[in-house]
Amino acid sequence: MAPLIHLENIVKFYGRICALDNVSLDMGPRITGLLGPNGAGKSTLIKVILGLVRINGGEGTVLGYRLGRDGREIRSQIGYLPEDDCYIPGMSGVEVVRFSACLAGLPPIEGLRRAHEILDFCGVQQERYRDIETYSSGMRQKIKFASSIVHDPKLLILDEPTSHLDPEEREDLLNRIRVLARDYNKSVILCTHILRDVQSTCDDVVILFRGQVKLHQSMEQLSLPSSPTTFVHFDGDPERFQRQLQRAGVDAVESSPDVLQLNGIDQDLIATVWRIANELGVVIQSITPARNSLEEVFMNTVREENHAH
Amino acid sequence: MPINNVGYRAWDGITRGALSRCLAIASTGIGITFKSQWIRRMLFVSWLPVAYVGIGFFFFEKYMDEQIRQTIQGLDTENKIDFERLRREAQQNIRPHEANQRIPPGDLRGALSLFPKSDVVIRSIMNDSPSVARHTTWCWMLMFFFQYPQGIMMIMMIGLIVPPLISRDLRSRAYLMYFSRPIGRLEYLLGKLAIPATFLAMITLIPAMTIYVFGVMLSPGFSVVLDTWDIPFRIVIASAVLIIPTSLLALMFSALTHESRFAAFAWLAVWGLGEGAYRAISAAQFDPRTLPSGEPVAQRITDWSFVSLFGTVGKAQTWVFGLESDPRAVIPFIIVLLSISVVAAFVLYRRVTAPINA
Repeated sequence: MAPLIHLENIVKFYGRICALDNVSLDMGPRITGLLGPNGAGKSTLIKVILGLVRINGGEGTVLGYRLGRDGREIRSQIGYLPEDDCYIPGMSGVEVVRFSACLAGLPPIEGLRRAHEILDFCGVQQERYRDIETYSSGMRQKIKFASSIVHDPKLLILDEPTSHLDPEEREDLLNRIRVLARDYNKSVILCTHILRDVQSTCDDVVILFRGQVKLHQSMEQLSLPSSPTTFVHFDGDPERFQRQLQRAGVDAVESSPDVLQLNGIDQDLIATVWRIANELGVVIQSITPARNSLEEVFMNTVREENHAH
Repeated sequence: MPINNVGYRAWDGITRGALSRCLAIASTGIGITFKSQWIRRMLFVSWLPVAYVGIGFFFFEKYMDEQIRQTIQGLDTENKIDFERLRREAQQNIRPHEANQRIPPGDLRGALSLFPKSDVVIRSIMNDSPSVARHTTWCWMLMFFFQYPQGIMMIMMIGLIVPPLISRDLRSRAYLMYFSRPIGRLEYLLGKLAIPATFLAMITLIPAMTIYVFGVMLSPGFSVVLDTWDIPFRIVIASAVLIIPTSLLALMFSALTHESRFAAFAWLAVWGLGEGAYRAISAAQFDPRTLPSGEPVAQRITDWSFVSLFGTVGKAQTWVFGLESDPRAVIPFIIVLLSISVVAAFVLYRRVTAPINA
């Protein structure tokens, strides 16, 4: 499958500061998390993808259109949710979304119809008729999200979409992103500092640091620990259970009072655990393969780079 | 809760072109601006001068009609002349200077001398045929309408409308909302320019056209349209002279700052300082002596009114309405207005996307 975004040796300078340093990237039609510390070049990369800034070197395509030449076509197929407030005072929520639709080229009446439909999808109720200046930050965030999807774009670029949202609204928004990606084939670039959101939503992760791509992997690969490990959460005598497992040749160590950490992840190991638990009358509450936390991966990547410099 | 939530649905309609995006920016801006009570009040007030100019048209038509009637009666000694036929012909051909001599010219001069370019009008009324005199007088009244009441209204209205138009987008970073969509700088600027242009058209173009139609309705026959067919075009050009450079200049100030009050201050300062400088220079150069030829020295001194934007726009409008006999005298003013427009457009073009590149 052709990559959705193909970047090759992209270089971007702001004066003498190198914001993007030979960035090469292929992003597929999935949900991709774009991570990086402040000043890593995430915003510049987004601007490059949107065709808003001129690049100093390299080439690429977005949705099949050439970077630097087809900016207008690219932007017509992208929905962008900026991190900043970006509102026009004096307009109601529904007017803002309708205006966004009209800016994308929808006819005014169709834009209004579509704005109401999308606001329903985003869970904005009667407050859509209120002046946007009276909205809370979370409400504005929802309006921005609605504005970014109102023209049914193929690619969504969401910059900190869950900031200012309460936990319930945050989960709702992430669910909407998942629905758009799963059921409507939208590709999403999720740029956030909330790593939990990336871990729970994204299929791929890109980590940028000092203008360079330091890591680009699928979430599945990234989550695998360096050595395969399984955690067994149980209810019973821990010493006896551990001893019996060790006798059966399983490398088991106590992780916490009711949790054993087993070295290995294969089916035979799991079968042995079930068998011994049955013999000893131990109640297995859960058997979970160990996963790397994204936070750990992110910190390791940044730390390694800091040491290298 | 919505009565019927259909969830997300794909949209596969046909999107419109660049013009519709311009219109979206313009119509939204106009809608927001129109919500201001001050703007609505100003629009109401700015239509009041239409009544004064309308009254001027009315009295002029009454005066001309009376003059023609008196002239014909003076010729009709044997009561054998077809009065209506002669009256129609008089509209085109008779020079009413004989009749006009019945009114002491001094009175007419006295009444009109308070207004600029009144000498052109008096000369035309005294010497030209009614159709030519009508054309000159209508143009003169419309020029006065543009230059004074509407000129001052324009300064206030732009001062209220334009300063926040771009500076607000810069402050709230709303420019990302525009430029992350398939919109170029030109479309954005045209959309923004259309906002003050619409409001200024409401206080210049539309009322001036209304006055013209009112004048035609008051005139003795529909043939007046043939005599004055060019006036609507002059109105359009005079409106453009007023709208384009001033709106571009105000938008440029708005694009240079995040604070709309600074832009408003700069806008008012340009008019105030320009007019002040012009008056100071004129006062310093004024010489009441007369030359041996009898011509006052003051008339020979260079016209510094291009220092004042108010004077510059006024001079250009005087030329547009055909009241400036020497077109060469207007060239410096046209150059000033063109320069302002070009520089402002260039700065705007560079500035509107500057924050994205920062």
